[in-house]
Amino acid sequence: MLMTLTLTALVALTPLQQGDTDTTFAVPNGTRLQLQNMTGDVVIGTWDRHEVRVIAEHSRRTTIEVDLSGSVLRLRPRSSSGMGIGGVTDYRLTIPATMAVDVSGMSANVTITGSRAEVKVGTVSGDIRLTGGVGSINLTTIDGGITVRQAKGRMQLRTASDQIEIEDSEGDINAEAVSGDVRLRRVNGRQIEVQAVSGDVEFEGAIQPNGSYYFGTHSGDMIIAIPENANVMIRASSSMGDFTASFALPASEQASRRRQTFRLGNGSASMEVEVFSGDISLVRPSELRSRNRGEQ
Amino acid sequence: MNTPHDWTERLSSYLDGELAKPEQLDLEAHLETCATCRRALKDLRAIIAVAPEYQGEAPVNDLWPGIAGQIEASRTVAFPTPARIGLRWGWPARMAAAIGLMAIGAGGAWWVLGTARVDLSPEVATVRVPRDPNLMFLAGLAYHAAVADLQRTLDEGRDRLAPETMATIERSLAIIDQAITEAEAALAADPASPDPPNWIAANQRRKLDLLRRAAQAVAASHTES
Amino acid sequence: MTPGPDSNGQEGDGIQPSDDANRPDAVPMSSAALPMLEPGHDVALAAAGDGAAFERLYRLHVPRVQSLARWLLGTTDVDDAVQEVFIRVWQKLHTYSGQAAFSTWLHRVAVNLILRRRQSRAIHRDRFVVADPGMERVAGRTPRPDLRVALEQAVEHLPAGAREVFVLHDMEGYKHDEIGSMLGVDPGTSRSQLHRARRLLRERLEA
Repeated sequence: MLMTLTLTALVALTPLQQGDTDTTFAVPNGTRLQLQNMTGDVVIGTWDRHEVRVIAEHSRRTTIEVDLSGSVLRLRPRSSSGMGIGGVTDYRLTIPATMAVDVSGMSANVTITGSRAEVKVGTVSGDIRLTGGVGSINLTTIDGGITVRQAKGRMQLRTASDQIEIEDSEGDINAEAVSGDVRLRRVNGRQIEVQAVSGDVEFEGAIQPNGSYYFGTHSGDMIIAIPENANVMIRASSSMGDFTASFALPASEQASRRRQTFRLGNGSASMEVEVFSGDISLVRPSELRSRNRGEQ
Repeated sequence: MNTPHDWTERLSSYLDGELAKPEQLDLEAHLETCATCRRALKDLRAIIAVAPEYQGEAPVNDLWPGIAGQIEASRTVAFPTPARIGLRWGWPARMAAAIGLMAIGAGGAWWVLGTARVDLSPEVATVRVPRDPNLMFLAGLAYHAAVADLQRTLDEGRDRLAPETMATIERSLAIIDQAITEAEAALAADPASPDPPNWIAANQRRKLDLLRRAAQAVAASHTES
Repeated sequence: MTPGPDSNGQEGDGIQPSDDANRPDAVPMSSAALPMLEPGHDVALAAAGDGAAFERLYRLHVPRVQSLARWLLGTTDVDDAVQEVFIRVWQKLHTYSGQAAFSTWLHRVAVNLILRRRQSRAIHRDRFVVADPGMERVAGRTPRPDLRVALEQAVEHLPAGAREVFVLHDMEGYKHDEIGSMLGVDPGTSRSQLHRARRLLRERLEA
């Protein structure tokens, strides 16, 4: 059923079936999606139409509330009594690829594929998987992992437990996990900051001229791939751990067991690698890829 | 055949207790028969004994005026540029303002983060505050108060969160606390090391952030129930 | 460590030991050592913000810190380094727990800071593999008869690498693996430099 929402109005989408909603409606270009879901998974795909399709599985007592005000499309489940958020609602949406997304939930796994717009996801318990995303990308969860692929923009990723993985992405990255590994593979950014409290950190990506790279973990190992011909000043410190390199390094400009500084090439980029308790390994990208392939 | 030089090297190792037992016995047997080495051993022992007792020599120029000047300057509460840790981690400026100036009494630690919005209380104004822009800790009254408030909110609302989520939050907080404890121990062991303050500040900021998000989750679950 | 046979004094004068020479395992009680932290003591007063008390501590400890800086840095930046040490001590005084002697704690702060200054000046490890350049002279003083001060004079003349290791090991009490970390050398290199330093000192003191 195609509905055109042209008024600023609160509309409750009538379930087609008991416990299901499936509806499609047109949205103006530039509309942003704001979806709140306390409990239930959210899966968002994209297309090139200026339409939004909403498929939702929910209890009979729940309706999907739609509010299109100005340039914001708000979706939220409501119990039929008009109060409360309703029970578990699983969403499957198809939205314009250029529609910015803002999803928030308590217990929600969120999967977004094919976005060419800004993405913001905040959940307490749930995994976040993003393929795509352009511009501002802000993903936070407390109990869940974060996976980002083929994103292009400024990424800010936070989780307390579970790991963060970023692959084949471009742009500035700020990623932080309390208890979980953080892995960056085939990334290309000028400013990258990665931090874990208890977890390993792995980086394989471009080192841009005059770029700034920080990798830190309190308790965990660090594996950093340094491309040949990289121009970077590397400052590595490990309070309790070993420092190794699989390739020849120049003499340290700041030689102590805990702190070492190496200038590679013209040293234009700046890289700090800090571990409180754990080892630091510098390797070549091919070695890290071989190692990761072996683990798959 | 051992040359005199070989024995001299061994004498030094012998005095440091670094010779293996067979070598030690070998050396002692040699000492029985070699007056030269016995004299050398005595001399080395004397050197090692007096070395820690060196008196030193005071500087030609009296350095105290310069030191006193810097100490007096540090008594003035200053608001340096925002802590490097804030800039590094993209910490919102409002967080820095909320924490503001902190101080703990004797035996604790002094750190300053500055914004113009923080008021000086009289007791803080009289407290010695180092004006070192490299001090990046979060500690003191405001931090602990914020943590206590957020922890209370979380404790009161824990039933509104899923048990596994609550367990994850508590486990994460414990990991962060452990990291803070280890960094504090490292700082106590080496007060001049620049790294532990960074770790402590980062993890305290992380703890606040996690508690805030957890408290927000509790509030959100309350609103929607 | 089992002590070897003592000299019976009949085999040449050698170096005349000070009274403590026959107690190599004894903890030396230098005049610079201070009692543990206690109320009313200058350390406690200074920690509470008493500048006059801190000046007294400065006057008491600056000779050793000055010499330490000179031995580890050479002739450059010594005054700046010493000032920085005491300013840092003032800033960190509240962290002094009293578990170690104050002089021990102060010297740890000083050594860490001085070595960091060295590193920032990019003093390379190459000095440890350079052929013996002979005894250098760091500073000159009027000779005094006591072994203790004679030793300090002799230390001034050690080659830089040997001097640094001797100062850190025999004077400041660091272990070879710690010295290796601090100076960026193998512990084995530290050991050989120490042996070299002791041999050179003995030769000079006997002369």
